[in-house]
Amino acid sequence: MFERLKQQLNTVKSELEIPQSNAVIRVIGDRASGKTTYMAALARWPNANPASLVQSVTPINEVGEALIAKAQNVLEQGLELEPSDLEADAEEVNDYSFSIILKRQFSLRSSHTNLSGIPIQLNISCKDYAGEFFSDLLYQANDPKLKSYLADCMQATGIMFLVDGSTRKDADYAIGIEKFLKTLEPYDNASELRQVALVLTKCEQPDLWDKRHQPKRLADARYPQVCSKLQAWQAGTSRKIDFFATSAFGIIGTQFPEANSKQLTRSRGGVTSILKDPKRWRPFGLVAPIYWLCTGARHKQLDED
Amino acid sequence: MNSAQDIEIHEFSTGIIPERMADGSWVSRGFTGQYMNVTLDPIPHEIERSIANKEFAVAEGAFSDRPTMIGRIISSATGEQWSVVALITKGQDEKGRSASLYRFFLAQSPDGLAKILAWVESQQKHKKTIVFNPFDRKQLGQPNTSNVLPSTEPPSDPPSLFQITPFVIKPGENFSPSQINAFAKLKVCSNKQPVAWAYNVEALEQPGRFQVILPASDAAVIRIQRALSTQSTISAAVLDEESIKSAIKGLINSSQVKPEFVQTLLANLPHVEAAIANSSCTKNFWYKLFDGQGATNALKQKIYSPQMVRLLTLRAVLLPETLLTFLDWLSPELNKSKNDNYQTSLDFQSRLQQQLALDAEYQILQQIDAGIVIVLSKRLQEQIPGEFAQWLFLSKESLWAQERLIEVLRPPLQGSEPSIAQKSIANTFLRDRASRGKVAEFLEELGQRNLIKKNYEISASLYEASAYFYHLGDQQVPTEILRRANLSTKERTQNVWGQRVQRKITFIESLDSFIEENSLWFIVLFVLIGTLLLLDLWFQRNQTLNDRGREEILETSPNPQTKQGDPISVAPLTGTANRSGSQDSAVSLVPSEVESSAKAQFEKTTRVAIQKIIDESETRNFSMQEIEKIMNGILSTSGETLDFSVVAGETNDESATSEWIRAIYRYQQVRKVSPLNGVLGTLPENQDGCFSTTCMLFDDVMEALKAQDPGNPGV
Repeated sequence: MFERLKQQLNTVKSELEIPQSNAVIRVIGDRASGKTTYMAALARWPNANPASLVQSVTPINEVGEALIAKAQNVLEQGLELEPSDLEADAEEVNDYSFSIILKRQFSLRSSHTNLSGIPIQLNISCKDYAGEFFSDLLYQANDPKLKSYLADCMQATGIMFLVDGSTRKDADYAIGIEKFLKTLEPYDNASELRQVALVLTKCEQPDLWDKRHQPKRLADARYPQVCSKLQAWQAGTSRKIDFFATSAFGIIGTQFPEANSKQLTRSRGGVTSILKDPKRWRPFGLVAPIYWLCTGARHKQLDED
Repeated sequence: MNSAQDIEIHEFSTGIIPERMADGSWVSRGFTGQYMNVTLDPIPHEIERSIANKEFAVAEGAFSDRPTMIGRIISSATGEQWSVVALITKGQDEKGRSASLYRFFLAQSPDGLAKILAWVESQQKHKKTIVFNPFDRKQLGQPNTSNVLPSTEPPSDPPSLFQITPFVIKPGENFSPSQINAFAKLKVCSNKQPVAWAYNVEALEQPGRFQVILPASDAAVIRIQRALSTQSTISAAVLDEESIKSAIKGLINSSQVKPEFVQTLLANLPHVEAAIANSSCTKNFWYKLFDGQGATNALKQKIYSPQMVRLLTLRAVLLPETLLTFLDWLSPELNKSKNDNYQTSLDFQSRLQQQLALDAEYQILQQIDAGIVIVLSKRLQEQIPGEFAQWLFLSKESLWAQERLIEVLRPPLQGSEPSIAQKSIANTFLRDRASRGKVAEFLEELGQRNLIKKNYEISASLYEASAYFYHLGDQQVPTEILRRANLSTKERTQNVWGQRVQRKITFIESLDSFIEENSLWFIVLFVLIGTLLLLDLWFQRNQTLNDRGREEILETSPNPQTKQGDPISVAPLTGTANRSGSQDSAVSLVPSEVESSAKAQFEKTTRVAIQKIIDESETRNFSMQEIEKIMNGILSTSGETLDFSVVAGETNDESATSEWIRAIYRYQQVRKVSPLNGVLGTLPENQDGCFSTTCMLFDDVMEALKAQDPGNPGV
């Protein structure tokens, strides 16, 4: 009797529980493409818009919490984050865990406007590899470090390929991503879906900001070779790609928006900048690629401002 | 040429790809992931671990213009003592980002720190760079040598509040690195910790692992104090926290279980007894490690990602007291039809088990056994639902599976020291009969579930364990349990788990055993029964003879009507003319004592019996006249009519009564009924032989009535 009641209670409870979606993500990209800043801005989730679909972003583990400190002590102090060290072993790379709760659950298959009133929880575990992995390590075929990183990549359910939207290194990145995907190929399991999100960062730059709602067009225009490599890869079974535009710093103002960043350097390799006004810091589009990697579906509302 | 006073100072630096700029300065084009300008290969393992444990790491954010210095003495497992000084400066990459770059100096000497510092000072005096410089190329096997003797001056008075560890000196006091080193050495004398100090720091990753800290600024003091307040200093010196952390991370983030991670955990296992004691520092250290990976957050926020499932599974293995929390957290998942998380945990346990089994001593068993005892105890007290225990014990991949449960419950071999779990079992489940009985029933239930699943082997083992606990509880084991345990159901006693257990015996067996024990009495009883049977046979023979005699009487009846099928076919027992000579001689007068005795009991016996025969006959639809006629025909001696009013109790005529007694006496004589007493007995008051006269008379009456009225269905 007691057990049957408890079981029923548990069933009711489990029905009331927030549906959860999980993803194990590896963030790759060139040095200074904004990987750690992306993660820190996500962890800090500053000045959240009350109208936003994102109810909360909560770091689960200590390295996730440390990102908040990093955001406060470095980014909000108008400083740049230090470059992440290239760990000899991918196991040592910080694995940030977050729980992101969205206010309402949207139908994943049909229209995305099907409000059911039930929130959804996205649990992610995310490693951002030092940029050296993408820029150098990939080309050192027999390096034990590379093997360790590739083995680690096998654990991932999704890859976020971060590209500084202001760089002019299409050809370099095309080689890099092709090499990366090719190296992973032997380990690929056709039965499991592999997703690669091409995430354009630093989109607070005016020329990018204007086109933030057409990330695919933006990517096609600026990184045609990268896009073509990704399209070619997607032709294989159980593979999916999509495009996203993000900004860790966001913009200030609505009528005459300006980037909430101070540019320090600008070159072919992109821009480096620091946060201009921490009090009005509100990142853009950070959850959209995560939602896509977790659920396999794109969320219209998360692409909006 | 080196003198005896010279010491070798090895070095290595953070590995970067340097790029020389036009102005002679340099920038980093990225990290290499390995050290550069190394003079010693390999770098001692303990030093690498110390670096990995962030004992030299400055926290990201603020930079001091002057180099930061960190000094430590690191002991190796073989007893070597290394003095290590790190100089940390700010470098830049080509994108303008700042990075902390480290140059390490090390000497194999316990007082090496002072010697290294003396050498560093002498180098600075000679305007030589001793901070990080990628172009200050060094060759392997060519360490720096120094013959600079450290100052022998006693250190200046230590600042006040020096007893606090780590002691954070107020900035602005103009101490040299050598003085800070001397303070640290002084502190070591009192607290026996290895020397560790930080000089001119803005922020430290592990401020709790220092004796003395000299902050670079007032803001740095606040940062360091804040970091200290949130950090625990426990166990830092004894455990390689980072390697344990890496092992946990490695295990939870991968569906594979790497042996090296398992080995790291095994080498640093939290002691079960320590983990049970609430105040244990070790326990807090382990809890903090798991919380660092998100254990508490996962529980509170109900985060069911594969990583968190593996993390909490691992925590439940290493910290057995968290097993119930884990089960409770996972329980909503148990009720789901598609329970991936439940399977994730089992897969992880299965892989973990493969690695654990390779460990020669299988040390982790203590933890697993402790978990089993906790869950079993709670289940028997019905404080947790049955599904928890079933999932834990019945799942094939479970680390706490039933095979282990059986081993835990098995008593220790004679002479061997009982394990912690076995002691705990002795104090809980073996304490009283009821507890033992509950364990027996629980094991029986598990055995039955396996039987249903056709897991016969394990089912038998569980029944065997159940038998053992039934024995401890009831002193006897149900036969069914023994049968299912594949044990003998024939033997009264047998050995189960080193105990002589007794089979519960059935009623037949207990009777059998009673007979065995009282055999003499039973022989007497059998003899008596035998005698009675013989007597009975003898009576039956006599009765058969009587029947024959009666048939003869009926056949020789002078009544022509009888022969012609007259309904009144009963021959009266009257007159000697109707009987054979032997019969005549047998019929005699009633002895007076018999008559008086029969008279005395006439009221209670004969009258009641006749009345009963009449009643019975009447219920068969015969009239009183018919009955009287038939009975007179059977009993009357001389054609005289028996007076039925005596039987009806209407009169009390003594002569009429005597007539009845005589008639019955003769009837008994003719029918050879014993005892010959002229009485018609009744049951149950009178169980002697005279009841057979009544029965015989009743049969005769019925037969005669039937013959008279064959159409009466009542007969």
